[in-house]
Amino acid sequence: MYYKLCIVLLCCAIALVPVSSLASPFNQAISLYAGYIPSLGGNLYSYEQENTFGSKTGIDGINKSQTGFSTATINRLLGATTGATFKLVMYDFFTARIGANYFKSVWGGKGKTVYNDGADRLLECNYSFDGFDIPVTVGIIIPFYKDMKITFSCGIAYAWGRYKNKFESDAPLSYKGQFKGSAYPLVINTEGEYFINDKFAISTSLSYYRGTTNVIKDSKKGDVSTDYAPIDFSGYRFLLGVSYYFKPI
Amino acid sequence: MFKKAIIYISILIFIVGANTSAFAQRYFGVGIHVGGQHDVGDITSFYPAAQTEPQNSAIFGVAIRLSIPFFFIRTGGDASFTINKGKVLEDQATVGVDEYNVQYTMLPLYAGLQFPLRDRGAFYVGGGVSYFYGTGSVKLSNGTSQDIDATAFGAGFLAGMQLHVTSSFSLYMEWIYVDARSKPVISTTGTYNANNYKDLFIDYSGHRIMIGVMYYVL
Repeated sequence: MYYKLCIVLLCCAIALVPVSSLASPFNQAISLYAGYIPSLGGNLYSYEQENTFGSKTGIDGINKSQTGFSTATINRLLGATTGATFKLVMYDFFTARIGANYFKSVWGGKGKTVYNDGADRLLECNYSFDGFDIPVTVGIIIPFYKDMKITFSCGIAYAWGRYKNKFESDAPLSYKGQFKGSAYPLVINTEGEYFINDKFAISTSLSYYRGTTNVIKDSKKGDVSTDYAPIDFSGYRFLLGVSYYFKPI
Repeated sequence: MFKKAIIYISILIFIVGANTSAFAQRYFGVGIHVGGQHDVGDITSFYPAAQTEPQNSAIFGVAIRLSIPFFFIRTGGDASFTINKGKVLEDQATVGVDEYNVQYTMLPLYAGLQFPLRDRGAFYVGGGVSYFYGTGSVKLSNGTSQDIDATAFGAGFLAGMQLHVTSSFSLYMEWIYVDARSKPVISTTGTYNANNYKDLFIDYSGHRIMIGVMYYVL
């Protein structure tokens, strides 16, 4: 895994060698940003949720209610993300980028539902998800005068994620799962930058990732079950940030 | 003759307005739009193997927009109207649902950056939340029908473009994606729900494309 990562980073470093002469058709920029990810980790399906709790669709299908039970809806995860991207701009219209992003679930994933193991029982559920990714993209820039740039780029990312779930009832029953793995999701990104002066811009972007790991075996020891789940990196990301260009645009 | 004169004058006002007075700043606008959503109430998020004929809906709405040169806030209200109901085509006895018809009211609140394209228009991208109140009905596999009464709150984003046609009017096109599901509100009657729990939630998630016209008051 680290070998592949080193190759990717080395190729990117060679491709993005700064060419800092003023007459050079190349420019470089650094962007810092933060944002959110609706539905982080997708529906967080795992085998045990279907086998024991009757949910074919993970966190979506696990929500059930019954008179006499105080249930609370378990929402999909909302993730927060932050990161930085190094951008190489070539001939004003072309770009190559490498970034590093961290993401973590900050809302949702907690609640109570019911299931039946011969009798109806209240089940407390907890889900969480975190990880990082390194996207590498190339794309096209449309500059509008000296005010703004709109960029569309696409590529691939190395993504690593950790998905945890926990289910407890008064049966007594306690299932805990932890799944760690990596994948290479496809990345599409569209970004707008509004220049405050000739070097600084505020930016916003929409990214879409599409990629899932293979099914991963639960690495959590000490509970009654061994669970299996894929880690899903697919989803949209909305980001706000600032960019600094090394040379005036 | 009179009709022709009106048409010519209208075209002249449009051209002159578009070329001379579209430079005005736009701070506060009210718009109306129409649009659509495919696969409303997506039943496969409840039962992934379900073979369905997805529901399609038309959307009519009002947009309220506040903006300064590079920042905007967008709110308003949208109502969906069913074009065709959703149907489960196979294995209804397991899924527990034969047919569904989801209608909703959406209250969006989004904010973000806009990128003015000189005096011609603007491109904008924002994030935010939407509140949903849904009605409609679900026809179950045992032949009975249950009404939907389901609220949900979801996060998403909005991306759009405006084309300024006069100093006060703009055409706009928007894409809104929201991720939102209600709590379980219906007890399905298939073998999948052997314990007769309330298990069917209403999935409001999806993409909406809208086109409209906005009048700038300020």
